[in-house]
Parts: sequence; structure tokens; C-alpha cells
Amino acid sequence: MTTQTEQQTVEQLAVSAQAGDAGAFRCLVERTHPMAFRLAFRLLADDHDARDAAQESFIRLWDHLDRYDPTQRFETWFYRIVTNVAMDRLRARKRRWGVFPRTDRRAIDAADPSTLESAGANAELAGIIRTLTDDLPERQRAVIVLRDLQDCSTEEVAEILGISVASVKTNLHYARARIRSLMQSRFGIRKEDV
Amino acid sequence: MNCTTARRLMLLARPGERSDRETHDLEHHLAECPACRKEQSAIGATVAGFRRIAGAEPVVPDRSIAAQEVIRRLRQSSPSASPIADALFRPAEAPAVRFALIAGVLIAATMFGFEVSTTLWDMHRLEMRFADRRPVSSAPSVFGGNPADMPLTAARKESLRSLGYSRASSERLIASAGIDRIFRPFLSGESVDAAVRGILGDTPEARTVLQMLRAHPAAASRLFGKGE
Repeated sequence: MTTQTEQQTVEQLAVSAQAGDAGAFRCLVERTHPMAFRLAFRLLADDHDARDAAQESFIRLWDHLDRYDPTQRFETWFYRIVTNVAMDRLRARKRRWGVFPRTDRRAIDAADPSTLESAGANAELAGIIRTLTDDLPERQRAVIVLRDLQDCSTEEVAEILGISVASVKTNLHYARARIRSLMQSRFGIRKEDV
Repeated sequence: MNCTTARRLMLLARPGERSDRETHDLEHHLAECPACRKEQSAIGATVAGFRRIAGAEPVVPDRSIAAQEVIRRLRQSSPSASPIADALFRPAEAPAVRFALIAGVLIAATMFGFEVSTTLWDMHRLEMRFADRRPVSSAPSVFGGNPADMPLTAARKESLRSLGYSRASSERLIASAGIDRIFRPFLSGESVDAAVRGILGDTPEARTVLQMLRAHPAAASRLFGKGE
């Protein structure tokens, strides 16, 4: 990887990767992987699933790179891919866990030594996010994660999810109301304390 | 503004979530409603609390290992992941490669077509020169049986090549049954000179053929069994 590649913006790297520059694509992956993992982790609240979702997002990124418009902010465009991958996994997981208990899956995760360290470190955080967001409808969950945990603007959230700004605000309102209620009931935080 | 609307707007507490008009109306309502003022601080704390609790940074996997894994998976799932294959399989992004591929295919197709047509023309020319002047049916076949069984080996191929026929033309001529019609009359024991003059007569064409065969005595020997 050249110094020149390292100095390029992610948008420039994406354009180079579009032209078939494998080095630029690799650099793009290295540059944006933490961002992809964080978003996937917060949406899925599971270290192992987040790793897989981040990987799958880059596969999809490669497949759809020709659709990227260089005038668009790369992070927003890529967030959309990661969010779609994560939400697909979330739906699949909900269906699967209807058959296999969640504890079985966590035992499988723990058996993989490569993920053990970060899975252990992230387990507590994943548990908190799950407690607060698992009961939210899919769209509310995506909106609250993107807006409050990823710090996207309401306009960016609307673009990523392909919905209106008004819909973002409505979902945000319901999600926060629900989370407030959960924080009071599950974490024992009284209304007066928050 | 009533309290329900005010509390909905309170949940949209972060910058950019309320319009200026909504903020103005909310502030006006809060100035008049002690219950909503109390609720507002609680809601603000909830939003901030959620961000603080759930927004902690997860431990992120090593980015270069993750990139290696992505590249590995791409190579497994798609041949276009390698730069060379990419250039070949995504020609829209490599016009020079696309041009070269198309040119290569056209050249190959042209050469193949030329070779086939040349072979057909060679056969026709040979047959016109000899076979039509001496009916095949009247010539004894030294081999007998099916012409396809004739022992036309590398020596005969070489003879044809020394007479100016390309390797492919020679092989196609020999592989075809038509070659038997061309060579059979000359394998009956006549001398080369007598065979050629017997077919072509004492013509300039016969002299040309004999000159050609004299220039290549080994070829003549292999073709007719006798040198001049």
C-alpha cells in the first residue's frame, strides 16, 4: 500500500477501487472497517454477528461499488449497506432464535478463539444495548442507533434508511419514549433520577 | 401547545430535531407549565443517559486482519477480486483490455476462416489439376479398401509441406478422403515424368509441376514412390 493511497480520502479510495485498484479497495476496507463494525455491533448487539455483518457489508460493497456516486458522502452510502446487512441478520436471528435458544448461540460464539477476546470485552455492552433496544420495532431500533449512538443527523438517518425526515423524528420520539421507560424499569432508574 | 405535544417535542431534544417554530412554541409552553418543565429535564437526562450507557465504544477487531479476511472471502466468492481477473471480467473499467480481447478474438476468427478456405481451395486446385483428367475410378489403388485406411504418415505430410502447403492444409488434405483421389493414380508404378505428362500433356503446366517436383526430389519420391 502506497503512502499516496493512505493519504487519499475514502471517497477517492472508492473511486480508485471502482477503477479496479485492489490496493485502494484494501485500504478502503481497513479505513472503514471500524466504522462498519461499530454500527453493526450497535444494531445487532452481538460481537460475533457484528463481525460477520461487517465482512458481509464489504462483500456487498465490492459487488455494488459501481453504483457509488463520488459526489455522495461515502460514509453515508456505506452506512446504508451496513444497516441493510445488519437488519437482514436481525430478522434472520429472530426467526432462528424462535427455534434455537439464544444461550446455544452464545456458546458457539465463545468456542471460537479468534473472537473470544473482543466478544468477552463487548459482552457487557452488547447486553446493555440488547436490553434497551431488543424490544423496539426494527425501524425504531435503526433510527435510535444511527441518531443517538452513531451521531448521524436526522437527514443522514433519513437517507440511510430511505425514509422521510418526518418519519425519522416520529420513530425517534417513540424509540426514546420506550427506552426511557426501559431505563426506569430494568435499570431501576426512577423518573426523578433521570 | 398542549402538554402532549410539548412532551413529544421534548423527546426530540438534540440539535436539528426541532424546527425553530417548534422550539419557540415549546419554550412558550414551558414558561407557563411547571409540570412540563420538570418533565423536560428528566427527558433530557434520559436521552443523554442512553447515549452514555449504550454509546460506549465497543472493542473493534484488528482492521488489517479484518481486511485480509474480506479479501480472502472475495477471492473465494468471485474471481473478479484479483486485479488481473478484475481487468478481464470487468472490461468496462479497462477499455484497453477489452479492445485487446476483442481484437484477439477477431484475429483468431479471421485466421481460422482463412485456413479453412485455403485448405478447401488447395484441395479444389489439386483435384482440378490432376484428378479430373484421369478418372479415379480407372486408377488402380495400391492400398485398396477404404481411402481413410491409407497409411498417409508424417512423410507424406512433410511432402505436402515441402510443396508449399501449410501444416494445417497438409493435415486437412491428408485427413480428407479426397486426397486418395489425388494420389492414387501416381501410385500405380509410373515414373513421375510419365505420370505428370500423361495427365497434363506436354503443357507449360506439366513443365511447371515437374520443375517443382525436381526442386523437391525427396518430396516427389515420397509422393510418387520414384524420384525424377
